[in-house]
Amino acid sequence: MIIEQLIDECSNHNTKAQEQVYRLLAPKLFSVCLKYSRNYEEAQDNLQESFLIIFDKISQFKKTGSFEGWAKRIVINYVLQQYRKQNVFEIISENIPDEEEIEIDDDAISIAYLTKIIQELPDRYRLVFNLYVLDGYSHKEIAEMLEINIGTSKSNLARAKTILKSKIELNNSFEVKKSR
Amino acid sequence: MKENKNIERLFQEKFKDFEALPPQESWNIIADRLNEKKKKRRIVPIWFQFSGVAATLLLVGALVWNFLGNNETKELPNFENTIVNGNETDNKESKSKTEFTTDESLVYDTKLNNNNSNKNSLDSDQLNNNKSKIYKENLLNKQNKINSGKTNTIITYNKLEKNTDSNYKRKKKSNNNFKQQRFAKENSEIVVVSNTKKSTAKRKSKYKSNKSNVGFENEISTDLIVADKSSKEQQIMKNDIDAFFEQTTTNKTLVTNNDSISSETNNTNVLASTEIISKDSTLIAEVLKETNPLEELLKEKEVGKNEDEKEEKRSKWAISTNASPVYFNSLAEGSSIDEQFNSNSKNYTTTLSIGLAGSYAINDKLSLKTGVNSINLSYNTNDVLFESRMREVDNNIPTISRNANASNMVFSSKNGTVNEISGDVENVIIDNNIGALKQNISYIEVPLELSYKLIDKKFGVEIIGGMSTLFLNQNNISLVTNGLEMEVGRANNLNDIHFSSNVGLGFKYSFWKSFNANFQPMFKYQINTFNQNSSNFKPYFIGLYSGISFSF
Repeated sequence: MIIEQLIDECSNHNTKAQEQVYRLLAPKLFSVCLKYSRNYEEAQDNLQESFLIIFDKISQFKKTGSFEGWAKRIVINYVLQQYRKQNVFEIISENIPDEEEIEIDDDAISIAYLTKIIQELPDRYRLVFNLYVLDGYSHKEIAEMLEINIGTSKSNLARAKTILKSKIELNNSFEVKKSR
Repeated sequence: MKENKNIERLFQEKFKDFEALPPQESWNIIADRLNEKKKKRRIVPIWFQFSGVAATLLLVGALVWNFLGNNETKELPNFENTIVNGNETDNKESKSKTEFTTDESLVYDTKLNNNNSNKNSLDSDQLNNNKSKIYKENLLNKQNKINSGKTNTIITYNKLEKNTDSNYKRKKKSNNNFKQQRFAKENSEIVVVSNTKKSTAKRKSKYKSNKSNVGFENEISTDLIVADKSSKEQQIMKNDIDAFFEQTTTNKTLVTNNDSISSETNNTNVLASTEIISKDSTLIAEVLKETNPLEELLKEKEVGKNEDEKEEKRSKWAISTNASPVYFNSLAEGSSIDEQFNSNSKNYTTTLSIGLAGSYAINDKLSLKTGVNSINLSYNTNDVLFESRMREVDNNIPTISRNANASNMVFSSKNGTVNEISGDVENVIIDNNIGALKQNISYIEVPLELSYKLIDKKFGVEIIGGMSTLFLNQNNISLVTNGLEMEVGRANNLNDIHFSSNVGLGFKYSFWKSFNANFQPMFKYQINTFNQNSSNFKPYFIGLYSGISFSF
């Protein structure tokens, strides 16, 4: 298929092909970076570094799988690696609060706001939340990826959700007040 | 609509189709760094390619020279060889050139296809616009709230995304009227959105920032500014794309194919979008959901997890056996025995070297190799005049330590003058007394070599360089005449330890898991073989090492 030819060309360091691949993947991968990073600038850095890795390793991509999925995993791995370097992963595990529901006005919450509050989460909460909720990894996989134990992963997720919930509620009440 | 929602579900729904265009400069930064890498990467291979070619030529030349011996007429084939080689490489070059051009056209095709897929139908485009509009509104809400500069960049960015989409489309049609229509549409959208805002504000007072008229007007004006900016950018981009399309006109047939494909995919978009239009503009956030991305992710995880990033663990160590015919020769005419034999013809015997080697891979490309080989070198110096005297005579060749059998023998070159013995009455030169001196030396060779892999697939090529330490373990000189051989002594000018510098090429073929078949033609030039003046004798040998290696 065409994407495979593009990939082949990228393996040969064809700049045009690389740009095509970039244009194809950048919006998807940048959204991943935004979710996993602390802020916009960091997301941009992570995106750039990830693309360099992608083009470096593109010859190793086996064409039976999804290219997008492969690229996305490279991004996630790169981001995790960064945090592993910074050693942010040890936070005391806490009790797991109850599963929470939230009363929400669907339209009032913007994706930008949600992105912002995700970015504001402590590093590990953010990673666990992203991996589990948005990218469908299991607690077991997350525990392996972040080198923590499963219980820690679960409690981190719960904490993340609590924080997010309170921020959304705050936002809601703020809006309600304003609208009165 | 207010509803109770699980927080996970909320985020999953919101982020399902979340895409964000990175800032424009990102690609430039990446492209720059890719270019840097490319340059770095090139420096090494070019050097290696040249040295590879040089080594091959040297090898071929040496082999030809070796096989054809001293015969002058036989230099010709050597030239022919190189000429033929030259032609071949020329052909290859031109071939690869044509390959490259076809590949390039493929890239253009895919580029076109991209454009086509960007070219959504009006409806879906409008929806996209609406979607981003809403997104932008929300951002503006937030902006009013927190006054941060960053959201601004996101807004313009979002705008750009839309514009590139519409830009491609416009380019396709290359129609200015259309552009104006679009622009008008964008304006009308603002109105539409504002209407919805009013109605929703009534219902829920959702957009608090829009409550006051001032805030509302502000927003419209920002929209217009953004739109103005983007139209300028469109012009610039349009020029680029014009140039690009000129290049790709030759690929029209393929384009039509791609068109049909992309229109198919667009259909789904159109369907989804019309549906949603009929509902309510506030539901636009759910536009374009085709498949559940979570399911996709899970599938990808199942299918693709094992096949990426997991670099196969390289086996670091390898042991190999090898056997090689050894072609011994000298770079200059000379004799290691005595100056007087310099011009004598010499026969170099092809012998066998066997050995064991171990190697350690330092990284993907480089590996260090060492081992033990036994090697036997031998050559005959022809046309040697010998005599046996009745009594012991002084040794006229100081480099030979004669043994007891030979203490009454003298050797001289047939070509040389035999002043020393000419006065002797007994001495008559008879043809029978002409023989050959055979020097037989064997060594234990310990090579230390570095190899660099040029190709590392099932079939691999590497270049090898290094040195060997050779330990002398056998040394004798014998006289060969009429098929009889008699040991006359040993050479006393050989160093017990000497070195050689080695270059060569290695070819491997991995036929089974970690087993490789190897073939390594090596050229080894011997250094300080002799401890005295060896009369310009510059020995070297060529080995064609072949064997099997096992890596672990």
